[in-house]
Amino acid sequence: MRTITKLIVAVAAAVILILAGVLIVWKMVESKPLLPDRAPPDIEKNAVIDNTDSEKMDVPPDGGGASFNYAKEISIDLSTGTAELYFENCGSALYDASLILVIDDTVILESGLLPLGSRLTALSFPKDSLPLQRGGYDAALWVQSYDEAGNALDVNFQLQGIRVEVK
Amino acid sequence: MKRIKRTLSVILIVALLLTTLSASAFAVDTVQIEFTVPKVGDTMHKNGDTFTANEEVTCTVQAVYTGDEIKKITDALFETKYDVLKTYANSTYSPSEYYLGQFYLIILRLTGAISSATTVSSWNVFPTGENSDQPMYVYQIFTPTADSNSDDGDSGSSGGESNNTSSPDPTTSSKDVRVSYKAEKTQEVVSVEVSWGEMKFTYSPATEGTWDPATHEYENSQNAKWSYSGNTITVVSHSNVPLNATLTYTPTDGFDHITGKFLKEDNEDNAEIPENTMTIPTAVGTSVENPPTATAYLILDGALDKNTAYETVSGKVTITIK
Repeated sequence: MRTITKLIVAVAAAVILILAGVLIVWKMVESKPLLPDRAPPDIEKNAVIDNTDSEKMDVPPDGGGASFNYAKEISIDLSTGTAELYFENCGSALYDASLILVIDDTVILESGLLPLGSRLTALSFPKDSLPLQRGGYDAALWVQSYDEAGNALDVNFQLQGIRVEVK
Repeated sequence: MKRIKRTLSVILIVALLLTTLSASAFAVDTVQIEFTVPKVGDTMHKNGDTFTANEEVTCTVQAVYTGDEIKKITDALFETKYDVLKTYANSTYSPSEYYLGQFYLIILRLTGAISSATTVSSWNVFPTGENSDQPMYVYQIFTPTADSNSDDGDSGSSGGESNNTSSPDPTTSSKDVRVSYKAEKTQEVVSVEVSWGEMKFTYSPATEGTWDPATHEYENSQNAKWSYSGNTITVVSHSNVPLNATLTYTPTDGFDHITGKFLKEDNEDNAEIPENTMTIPTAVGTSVENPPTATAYLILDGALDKNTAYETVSGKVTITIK
C-alpha cells in the first residue's frame, strides 16, 4: 500500500509540474519581444509633418545625423486606445525614423514611419489590447532611422527613462 | 493495479474540476439591466431605503459604472488577490451584494476615481420570467447636488449657494472668490542631435616588410592594424536636463571576433570612456550656439578575414540616451 501511495503522489506531482511548466513557457512565449530588422513601415497616420524647411545639421563628410525632441512622459488610455506622447523627428536631421515603445523587453506600441520634420503626439491602438494594467511603468523608446532608400541604418537609438502612466 | 488506475483517474478528474472552477472564479458577472440606465448629467431623486440613507436625496449623475467596469477597476488594483476579496462577498446571498457594492465604493474613493462626496446605491431589480425570484443589482454612483446638501435639508430651496451661510440680500448679490496655489510640474524635454562619421574601417594584416638583400633582413615590418575614416560620434544636447549617452558596438553575425570600444580622444593610446557613457550637462544657462557636447571615437580590434567582402557591415552602434 505504501508503494502504491507513493506512486500516486509521484504521478500527481508530475502532472502538476508539467502543467506549471506549460504555463511558464506559455507566458514566456507571450512576452517575447519582436525586434526584427525589416523594411520601413508606412507613414504614421498620426504624424504631423510641419517642419521640413529647417537647415540641416552639420555632420562629418559622408556621415549621418539624427535629431530628436521628445518628452519623457507617455500617457496610455486603455479604454480609448490612445497613447499620448511627444516625439519630433526634427527637420534638421537626415533620416526618417520609426518608434517602438518597449517595457521590460516587451514591444508595447510601434509607430509608422515618421518623416523628417514630423512630430507625433498620439498613437492609436485597439482598445484594451495592450498587456498593461493601470499604473506606472518604466519604459524606453527605440528609434530606428532609415535612409532614402528605406534601408535601416546601422546606428540606432534607445531613449531610456521614459515614464508611462496607464489609465 | 485496477485500484491504482481508478485512483489516478479520480485525481485527474478532481484536478480538472479545480482548474475549471478557478478559471470561472475570474469570470465577469453579467448584469442584465431591466430598466433605463440614467446618463451622466441626469437628475435623479431617490427615496430612502433600508440599505442606504433614510433621507431623500436629489442628485446629478456624475458617472455610471456597471458591475463589469467596477470589477475592472478592482482587478487592476488587486490583481491576483481578487479571489481573496471575493471570499468577503457571497454573490449568491442578496444582502452581501450591497456590501460588495460598498466595498467597491471605498476602493473607488481610495483610488481617487470618484470624490468623497459620491455615494453608491444598489438598485434591486427583479426580472420577469424564469428567474423572477433572483434579484439583480446595478450599482450607480452619483454626487449630491448643492440643493440636497443644504443645511436645512430642504431640497426644494431656490436661490443662494449651498456655501452661503446668510440669507440672500434682494438688492445685492455676492460670490465667494476662491484662490488656490497649484505649481505646474516642469516637463522634461529632451532635445538631442547625434552625428557620426562615415564609419569606414580598414584592416591591414601584419606584414614582414621589404626584403633587403644587403642585410638579408626584412625592413619596415608592420603589425596588424586598423585604420579608419570618420570614426566619431558626437552628441549635442539642447535639453533642460542632464543626459547620459551610452554607446554600444554590437558585432553582426560572423564578426563576433571584431570588438569595438569608445575612446575620449582620437588616439588609440587614450583611455576608454568609462562604461562607454558620456555625461552631457543640461543646456540651461548655455547659448544655442554653444550647447553642451560630447564626442567619442570608435576603434575596432580583432583580425579580419582576408576573404571579407569590401565594406561589409561588421557591426552596429546603439546610442542610449538617458
